[in-house]
Amino acid sequence: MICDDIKDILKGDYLDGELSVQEREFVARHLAQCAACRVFEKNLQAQRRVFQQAVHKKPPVQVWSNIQTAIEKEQIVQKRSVRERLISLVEMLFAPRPILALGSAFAIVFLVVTLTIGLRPRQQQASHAENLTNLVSYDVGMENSDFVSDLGTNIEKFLL
Amino acid sequence: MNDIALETLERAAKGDIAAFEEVYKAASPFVYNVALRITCHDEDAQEVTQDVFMKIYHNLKDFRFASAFKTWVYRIAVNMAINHYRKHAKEKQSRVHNEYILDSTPSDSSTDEKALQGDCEAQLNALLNVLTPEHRACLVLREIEGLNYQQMATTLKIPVNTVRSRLKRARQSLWEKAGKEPKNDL
Repeated sequence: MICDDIKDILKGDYLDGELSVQEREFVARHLAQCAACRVFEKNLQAQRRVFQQAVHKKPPVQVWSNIQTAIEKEQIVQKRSVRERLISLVEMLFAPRPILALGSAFAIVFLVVTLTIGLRPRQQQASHAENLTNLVSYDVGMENSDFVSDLGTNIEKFLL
Repeated sequence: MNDIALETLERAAKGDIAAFEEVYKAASPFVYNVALRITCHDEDAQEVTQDVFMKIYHNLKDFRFASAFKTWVYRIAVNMAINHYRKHAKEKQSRVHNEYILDSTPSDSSTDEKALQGDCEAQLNALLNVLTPEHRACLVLREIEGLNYQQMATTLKIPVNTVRSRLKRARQSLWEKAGKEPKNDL
């Protein structure tokens, strides 16, 4: 039973150096007496060495090149997309659109028709009023002057 | 992983590629090695490294510096490597034992040294292949990268006791697979 406990400690805190001094001494005393646990401990240490001897590799140069290229592409796409969004906004505002054009045409026609119909009676009334004024002034002029008789007479007098 | 100046991180977050290259130089050896040990394949490790750094690039502007940058990078690297391994596990099963990684080693060592190194790599690979990705991650962080229990717990977002038990189970698995554990316990 004690070997199970010792093995459990060996696999964990013992190997990772997390034991207190007393615990470590206790394990060391057991290892000195128990051949099987010594073998177990040796094997654990051997496996551990395989990991610790692993070579730290540098990533190949192309990895950074790929990352750099990807980032630069993204930055170009981002810049382009901002510019394109602005351009498309401007285009959207000024682009001729069939529905808008048709609507505008109808609106203009409606406006012209409405204004034409609305203005016509006023023009007629105005011209009628002008006629009346002219007629009245003509009549008054006729009354105040002897234009008809004078016309011939004065000329005749002058000529004579 | 070397410490990176806050100013460098801020410049990198604003899209400065030169600053981001500094971040890459400091963090890439860790990221690449963790990815290499978890995926057990050089090309996959390169792919994971690229993905990790693209993720860092995209998320750096939102990184609030509440946690250490190192821990953040460790976590992204481990998670992405495990996810990548799981995604490609089936198609890789056939090639894992045959292909392994010496090409990318920047080394001017002699042929004997290379052979020795190849043996070590083969041994390590054989051990890693016994383990689940989570157990691999634990052993790699502890034995190769030298993180302590607390750092591992923060990186993997698990309690310290879970770290302890995962390490024990990983070592137990290695022992059992090696066939050196006597069937009748002592």
